[in-house]
Amino acid sequence: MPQNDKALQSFLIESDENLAQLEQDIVALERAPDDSDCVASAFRAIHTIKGTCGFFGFSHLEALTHLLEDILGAMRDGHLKMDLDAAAALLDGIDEIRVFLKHINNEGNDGKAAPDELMARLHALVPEKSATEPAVVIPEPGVETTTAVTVSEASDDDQPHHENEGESGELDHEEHEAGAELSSTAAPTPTESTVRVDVVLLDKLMNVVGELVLTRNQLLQHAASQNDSQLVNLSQRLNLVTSELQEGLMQTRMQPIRNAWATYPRLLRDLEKKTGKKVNPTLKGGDTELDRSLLEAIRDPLIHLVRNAVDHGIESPEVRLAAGKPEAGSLTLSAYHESGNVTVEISDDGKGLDSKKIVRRAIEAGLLHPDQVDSLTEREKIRYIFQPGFSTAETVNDLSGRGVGLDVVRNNVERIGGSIDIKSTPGQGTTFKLKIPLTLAIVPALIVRCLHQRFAIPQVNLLEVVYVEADKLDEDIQTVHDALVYRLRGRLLPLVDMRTLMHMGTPDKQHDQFILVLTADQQEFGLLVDDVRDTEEIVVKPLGRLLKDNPCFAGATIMGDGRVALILDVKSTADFAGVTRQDRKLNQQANMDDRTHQPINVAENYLLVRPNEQTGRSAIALSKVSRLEEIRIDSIEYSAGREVIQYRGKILPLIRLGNNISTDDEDNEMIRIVVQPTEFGEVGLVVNDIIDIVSDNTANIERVAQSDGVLGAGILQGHVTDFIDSDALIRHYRDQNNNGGHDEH
Amino acid sequence: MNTDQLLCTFTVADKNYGVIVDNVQEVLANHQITDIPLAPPGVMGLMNIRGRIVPAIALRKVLRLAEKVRSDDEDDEDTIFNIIINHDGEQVGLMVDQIGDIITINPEEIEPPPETLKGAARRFMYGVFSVQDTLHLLLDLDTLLDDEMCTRSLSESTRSVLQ
Repeated sequence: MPQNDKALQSFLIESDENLAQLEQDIVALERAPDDSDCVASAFRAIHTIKGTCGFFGFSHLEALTHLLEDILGAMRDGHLKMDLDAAAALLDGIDEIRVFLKHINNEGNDGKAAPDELMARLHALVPEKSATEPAVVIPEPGVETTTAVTVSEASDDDQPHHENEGESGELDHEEHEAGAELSSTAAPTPTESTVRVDVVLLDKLMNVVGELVLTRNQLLQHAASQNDSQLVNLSQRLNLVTSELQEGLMQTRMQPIRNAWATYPRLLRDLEKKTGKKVNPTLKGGDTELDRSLLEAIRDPLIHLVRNAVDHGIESPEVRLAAGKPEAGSLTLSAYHESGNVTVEISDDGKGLDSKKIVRRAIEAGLLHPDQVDSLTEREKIRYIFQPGFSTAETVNDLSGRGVGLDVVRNNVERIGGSIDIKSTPGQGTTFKLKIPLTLAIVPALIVRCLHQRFAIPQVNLLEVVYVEADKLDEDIQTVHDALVYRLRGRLLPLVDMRTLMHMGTPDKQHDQFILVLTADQQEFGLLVDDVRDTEEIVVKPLGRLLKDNPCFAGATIMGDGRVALILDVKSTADFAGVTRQDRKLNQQANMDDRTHQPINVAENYLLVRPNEQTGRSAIALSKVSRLEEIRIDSIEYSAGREVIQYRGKILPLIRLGNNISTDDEDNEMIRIVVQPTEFGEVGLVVNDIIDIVSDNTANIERVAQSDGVLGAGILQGHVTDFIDSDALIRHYRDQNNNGGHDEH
Repeated sequence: MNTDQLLCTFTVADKNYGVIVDNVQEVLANHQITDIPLAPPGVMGLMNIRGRIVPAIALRKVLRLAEKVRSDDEDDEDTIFNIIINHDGEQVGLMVDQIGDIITINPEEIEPPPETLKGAARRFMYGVFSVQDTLHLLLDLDTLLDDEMCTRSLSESTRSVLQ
């Protein structure tokens, strides 16, 4: 019977809410057993569940809830005090009710009775049958108010030693309220001001409104081009009404974040039991609202972060006392609106993160090259805990675990268009800051053009836009064996030409271009597009089953003119373009069992060159390359017997990479040089050929003492390759010069 | 009990086909299509159908038929029809050359495809039926839309080229 189904469904939803309330109250009571508000609230919650499951005839569930009601009733009447045992038993009872509800949801009946052991434990808590019995069994909601009051008065007389005068008076007052509210929950009053709405219906309405918004946009465009004032007026009115409708509907989907936090007291209680730590939680800004789908999406990440803070952030009571901190750690969750986003902060006053350990671990995992460490800010260093490599940490130290699964958390947050940041002060605590958009369906995006098509780039991934004039293209954008690079403020930014990547056509060299500097997985890259239009709030629509494995697009949207524009998935595009090679690096790390090789982590791009006429190959770290030049052979001049060229108004000393000073250079008019900055100024390495840029690096470099300036040899792309140690090379060169009694300066 | 089946007929590259009408939502002519880079070869692009984003399937490609030769003198030849199908809760558009009729047919009149039918056509055929002495092939949308021409992005093939 569908009608019954509906009733059953609302019973399940309501019971779920009541259980959450009950759980919160019990956990609160465990800390403050005398809080009569909590007792009353818990009693109401269980009473409602019990009442309804009797109506459905779920006898097993009813038996269990009845028992819980008895216990809470006794507590309400002051015959029983909440203690750790009682709380534990009650919480187990709640878990068991959840099992029942799940069974009812799946099978439609309440299945087997609750475990005897649990029932016995609960039975043991119920005080001896006494004159107060009627308070527990409530025959009719209507008479509840009076019954409860008389009973509570009686109980006060019976046990005057239990509470002092003031408290009992207060309790009495509370009973009135509890009774009154009880009758109001049992029979809906006319003041009921909320309605339950099916989420599917809401989603559907949301879609229809989305369509309306698009139609409105089209109409506005059309009206603007028409010379019809009546039409303009009408479309303006439609505009206002539509906006209001859209806003109103959005609000119906909003839920306070408190709903997501409701589970925390129980979670923290269990964590405290498990870890032996003490935690004082503070929840701030629970009224902050966000879209229900987003609330769902961040529920797990938030729980993970809370668990993480207790497990790894907050120290044990002894350690805390020794460090001069209060015994109980404090954990603060706060939510607030900030510049169109919702920000959620989870901060603890624990031991904080040790950036040194993180860096060490990142280097071990091959995520970071030792040379890169110095250029990292403290913030960048600790961000490494979000890298996937950390979740496979095997090293057992006090850091391990802090990163476990944080990459998953980050992924989940980024998937909904949010971002996660971290601040940490050693010894003082850690704060995770999540920025979440207000709604999932509408995203601010930059609209760009590539060839004849428009694409939407989510703003979250966009760092900046660089404009390159057509006549500067060849100069500013350098090509190394089909790999494009752009020098952005001194760093080499890998470039991806959208047209080439997506097989849309050949790059355009006739017109001005734009480089979108995008970030994915903390890696920056530039995307070359034809034009940059507006920023717009776009409505995200899924691509559907047929296009689900498209490597570059996350969805599509409909523009004001009714045409479809694709939304770029920046992370996947970066992966597809080969900009991010994290996974591979990790795999190599795992495969590096052969300890006879001295592994040198080569977590960066290499320029592969052929130093001389022979077939030997050498690799130079791309980060140490500032430019690649082709110069005429006759522009080489000599200074102190050394080859130099005039380069950008300076003298650039040349170093021949292959130990062949004189070759048949006469045959070639041009030679290729790799310009490198060094501590002594720029030098040019003369190479015969530039082969490729590779970031795929399976090379285990063996330290073979070949000659100065060679770090070692390894296998790169299936060929034995010398790895150039530029610093040593230049030092060697300098020494030679100095021995010769000359100085370059 | 044989209930008559309603079929929608159409032609692609001068060949006659049919689909069961139950799945057909509407037919659109010359609807705007947006290209999708790296899409499966059979997916021509995306259409906006009243706020829903619907992929357009090039039946010519999926059925491995000859590409359409553009004739400059006949403008009306360029009309492209899209049969919008509801399939598995999603909508897809089938791009065809000409729309035929809605015909009623007794399921018993649908015969198995002949042994001589080979290749791609055979794979997607549910059966053969005849309308006014012309044989039509009844398409099986499940297999058709599961074909790699519709589902396999260019990404896999291009990835190997890129690396």
